Amino acid sequence: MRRLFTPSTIVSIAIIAAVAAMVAVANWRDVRRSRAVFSRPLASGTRGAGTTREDLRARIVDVRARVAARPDDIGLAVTLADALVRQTRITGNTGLAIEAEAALTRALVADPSNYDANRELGSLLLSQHRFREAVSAGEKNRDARPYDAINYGIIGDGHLELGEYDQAFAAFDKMMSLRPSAASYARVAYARELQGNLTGAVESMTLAADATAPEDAEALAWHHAQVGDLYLRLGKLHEADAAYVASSHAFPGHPFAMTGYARLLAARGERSSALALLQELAKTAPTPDLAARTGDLLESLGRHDEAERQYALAESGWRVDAPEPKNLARFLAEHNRRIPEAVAIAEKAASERRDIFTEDALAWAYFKAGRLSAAREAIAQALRTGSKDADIHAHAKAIEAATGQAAAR
Amino acid sequence: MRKRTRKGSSGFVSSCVRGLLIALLFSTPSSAHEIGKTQAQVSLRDGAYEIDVVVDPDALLPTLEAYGGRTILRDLPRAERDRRIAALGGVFLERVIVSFDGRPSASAFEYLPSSAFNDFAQAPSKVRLRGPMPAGAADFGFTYGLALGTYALNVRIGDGPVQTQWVVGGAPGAPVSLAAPLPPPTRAHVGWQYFVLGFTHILPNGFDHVLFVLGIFLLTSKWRSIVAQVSTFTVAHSITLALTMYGIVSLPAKVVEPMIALSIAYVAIENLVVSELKPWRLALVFSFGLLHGMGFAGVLRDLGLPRPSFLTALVTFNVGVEAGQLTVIGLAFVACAYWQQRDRVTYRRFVVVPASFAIAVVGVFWTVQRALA
Repeated sequence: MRRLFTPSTIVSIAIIAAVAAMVAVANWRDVRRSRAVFSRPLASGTRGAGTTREDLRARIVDVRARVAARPDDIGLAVTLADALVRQTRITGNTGLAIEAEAALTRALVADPSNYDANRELGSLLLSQHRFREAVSAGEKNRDARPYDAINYGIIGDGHLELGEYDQAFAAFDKMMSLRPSAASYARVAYARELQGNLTGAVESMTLAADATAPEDAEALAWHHAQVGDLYLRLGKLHEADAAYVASSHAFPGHPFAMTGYARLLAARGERSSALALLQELAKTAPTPDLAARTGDLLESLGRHDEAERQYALAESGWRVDAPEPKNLARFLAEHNRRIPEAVAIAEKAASERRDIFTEDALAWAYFKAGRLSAAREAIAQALRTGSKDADIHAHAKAIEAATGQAAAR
Repeated sequence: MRKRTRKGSSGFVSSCVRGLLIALLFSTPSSAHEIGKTQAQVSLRDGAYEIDVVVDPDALLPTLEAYGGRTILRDLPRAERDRRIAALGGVFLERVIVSFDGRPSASAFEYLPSSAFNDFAQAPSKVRLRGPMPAGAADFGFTYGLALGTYALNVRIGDGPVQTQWVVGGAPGAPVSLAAPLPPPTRAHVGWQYFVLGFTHILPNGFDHVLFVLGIFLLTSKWRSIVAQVSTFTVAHSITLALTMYGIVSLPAKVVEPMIALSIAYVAIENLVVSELKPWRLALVFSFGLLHGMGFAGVLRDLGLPRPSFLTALVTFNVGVEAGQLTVIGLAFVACAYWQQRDRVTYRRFVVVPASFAIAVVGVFWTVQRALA
């Protein structure tokens, strides 16, 4: 025993122990570091992450500062991206999606396979009109977690925007079967609307509103505003009014409720009030769509010069500030402006996506260009889901009538 | 018919955006529009501001005419269009507000049309706003009331970094603080900072490099052999550190890191079978040094090198690494001096063999761990 504990063996053991200790410390430090960078992502609308205007603003300021201090914290990046995306719906600031994507991309460098961040990224791709990439991202995330319903939502949304309705509706069905929720009901409502079942769409959207957590004031307001829009399409003005009031109650001044209410006022014949409401909204969140609506109201009030100015703003806006080719093409055709350009823009848009609204814009541009045969083909595509959209049907009727006249000649 | 379709345009847009907006719920997307083309580049320096707003003149003219309450004129010849834009500076300045501490500032308006072809992307037209900054101003504000969407506001104070924010047209951007940016660090400051980073990358943060250096140290107690190995290692890792940082060579970390671990295992195992410096050992140490240099470069890239003092930072980081390695060897000398002076057999049996064995085990473990990571 005495020989075992000679100074030499003690030194040997000490050296080995020192090396082992160094390794242990190094590994412990690495583990601690890797744990430290994972905050728990906080989804907007859940407990502790309210979505009132003030909640969102404060959370973005707070999380932005924390992400700046810890850019590799994926949980924080996901929380920030989620809040920014929600803020976009209220403010219309599409640049926030770029900020969100940058935060996620930065954080993913440390952990490229992080599921939460990749799922959020799929959503951001959709918001930037990168639909094909969004579908791919959604499918990749679905393969990673086949039982997460949100992935089917992202896949379906991407297919829907590309006009691949069978795949979209199948994805929504799967989403619904996995987890009935506000997000699923809202998608089912839109699918029903596209298929011409407006009553069913109202039912589903109402279920979506009912399934929304009270903490999620913004989503609640959005769902109620959608219910209002659907009632408006059905001509049920009283019910639409109640839905817009519910929306404003949940989230005062929500832009979708205000826009919808302006449409309701116009439908009731109170066009001056509707105009005042839209002009008020344009002060804080101007969009080409708003300018076009304002122009329509001014035109209906006989204020042609002012209407023309609003149309000029809408056209410039769709060209430069918020590029949306199908809207621009349809607007140009609608207002008999630069028809060859409208056709070119619509054809380019249709080469990238074949949704019914792009097909409708293409049909209307062809119609205005006198290309009736092409217009008929395009409008048939626009009608293929069975949508009862009033504009598509009006265009179809006009194209059919012109075709009949041409045949009679 | 006309009336009906116009009314319907709102319904059309509403339907178009609904699909995307539904998706907003539960981590999903937001907008039905892409980002606009308008950008405002703000430069604040020497008591003055200069703001270049990149514009599409074909869209700007009707916008200015609309906000100015004028008749909208279309399809004008380019020269006439540009003349009219230049004449509508007053309308532009009514909608675009530059402010300091919340107080609007009077700007000089200048329209700079694209000179050559009508190619917006390659030869953009600009509106330039200029003016003095009030003395003692604490923050800068900018409101662009001509965009019906989102635009990028890029602000640069002096030679500082560009601060970008995305702003909705008509809404004021977040105020930008004009607090003087920190003066750029001196060369000496950068040198010291990166020397410390290099040193701490070895002690206490670089256990793998420490074990490699100890492996070199343990081979023999002859200081000349140790100096020869350390010098070879230093030359090698300096070469790859510099080449990698200048982007001339590159190897992925998932290759470099397991190889570094393998080098640790190798020197330790060799210590168990030989006790004299052999020529191949120097060649291998040189090769391993090349790998370790790439590892140092990976760390240095993560830290970032200040562009104005790139070479200073690179050299002083390397010197810091050397200082760290020499400190390790110095400490090892002190710790082992007693045993080295007793007799070589005892030193080898009770220090070199167990320590090398432990290092070898760790090296093999790290090799497997990093290869599988």
